[in-house]
Amino acid sequence: MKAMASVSLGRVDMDEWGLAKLAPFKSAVDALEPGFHRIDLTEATFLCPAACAFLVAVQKEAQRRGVLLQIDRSTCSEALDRHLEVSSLLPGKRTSRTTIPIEHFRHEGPEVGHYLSRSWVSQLRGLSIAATEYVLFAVGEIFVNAFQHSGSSLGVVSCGQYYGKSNELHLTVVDIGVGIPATVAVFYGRREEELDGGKAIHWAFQAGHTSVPATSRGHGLAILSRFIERNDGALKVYSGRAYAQVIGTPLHRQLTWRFPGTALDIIIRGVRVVPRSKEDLF
Amino acid sequence: MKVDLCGRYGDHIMSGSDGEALGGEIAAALQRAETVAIDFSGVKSILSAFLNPAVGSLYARFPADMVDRLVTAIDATDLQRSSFDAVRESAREYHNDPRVRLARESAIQDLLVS
Repeated sequence: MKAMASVSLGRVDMDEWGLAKLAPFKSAVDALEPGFHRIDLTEATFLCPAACAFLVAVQKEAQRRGVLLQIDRSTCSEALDRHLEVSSLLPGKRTSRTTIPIEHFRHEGPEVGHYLSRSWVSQLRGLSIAATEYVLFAVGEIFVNAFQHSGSSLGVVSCGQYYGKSNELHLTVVDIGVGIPATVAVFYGRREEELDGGKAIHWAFQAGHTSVPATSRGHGLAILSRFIERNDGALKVYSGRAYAQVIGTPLHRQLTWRFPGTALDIIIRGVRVVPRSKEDLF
Repeated sequence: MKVDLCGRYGDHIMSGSDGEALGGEIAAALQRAETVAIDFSGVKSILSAFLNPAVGSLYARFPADMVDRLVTAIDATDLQRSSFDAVRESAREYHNDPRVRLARESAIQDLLVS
């Protein structure tokens, strides 16, 4: 019988330096033999929503080849333990009005709509009707695009977090597919390395651009971009070897590392959420 | 012909295959020169993945002014109206202006690593 191995992950902030830690983590998981293994989070004082969603995606993918990964709860700090529990990464009864628990969807379908309604709307009861519709639209468009263009049979993982101090709602959607630059490259019959990945992400967010040949599709992300911009929000995308800030001042650059898939962080400002307890105010 | 979206597909509409089926129905109505009113009342969210095949695809098969005139949206929220209009506008341009189609498909030069 093979011995249980452990893979570890450190603190992951939602920035270039933080997310760079996810690629070697996935490589370490990919190298594991089938069996039970533990995830050591001793050094992970904080895991951003994208890291939490990524963790679930990697767990699901590993499970397919018999690698069963379990977070070693004894390695979590008290704050991280609570955060992972309300995000549904760890079992428990604690919930938070300001955290949208992680969900995994393999296919698009009615259950996605029900999830959006159940988790996003009923959890964030403080949202106005217009903001609610906007959030549903934003998450829905991202979901459908991820399903259609990620090239991942695993689907997508989603979660959300409301930050009371800055009054920002972050919607995070992660997939571990081929990435947007690779999808655009295939559309043009090129290799991914020939394209500027950041420009390719911007291309994907422009009206009428789609990686589905000979169609007039590709409006979803463009409409989403306009609405986020109108609401003073932001949209940051890490995909393959590229990072792009799609809303506001266009910004993009090549990364020195490769994000194994796509992580989108949508920031919506100006929504108000009524916290359930003092603990929710962070 | 009136299409009750919520009654048919529920309050969250995001399926591309549902959109394709509706696009086929609307196309049949347009061939009979019937008007088509798409009723959004009760719909909480509707995505372009549905609207593209349901409405945008019509511009590939019928004259743009005919689709504009005969297919209308009723009881849509501002966001839904924007999505509906954006899908129509983009499809109209794509299917009726070869320069737009060519420009979109030849944008590769701008994406290459310089």
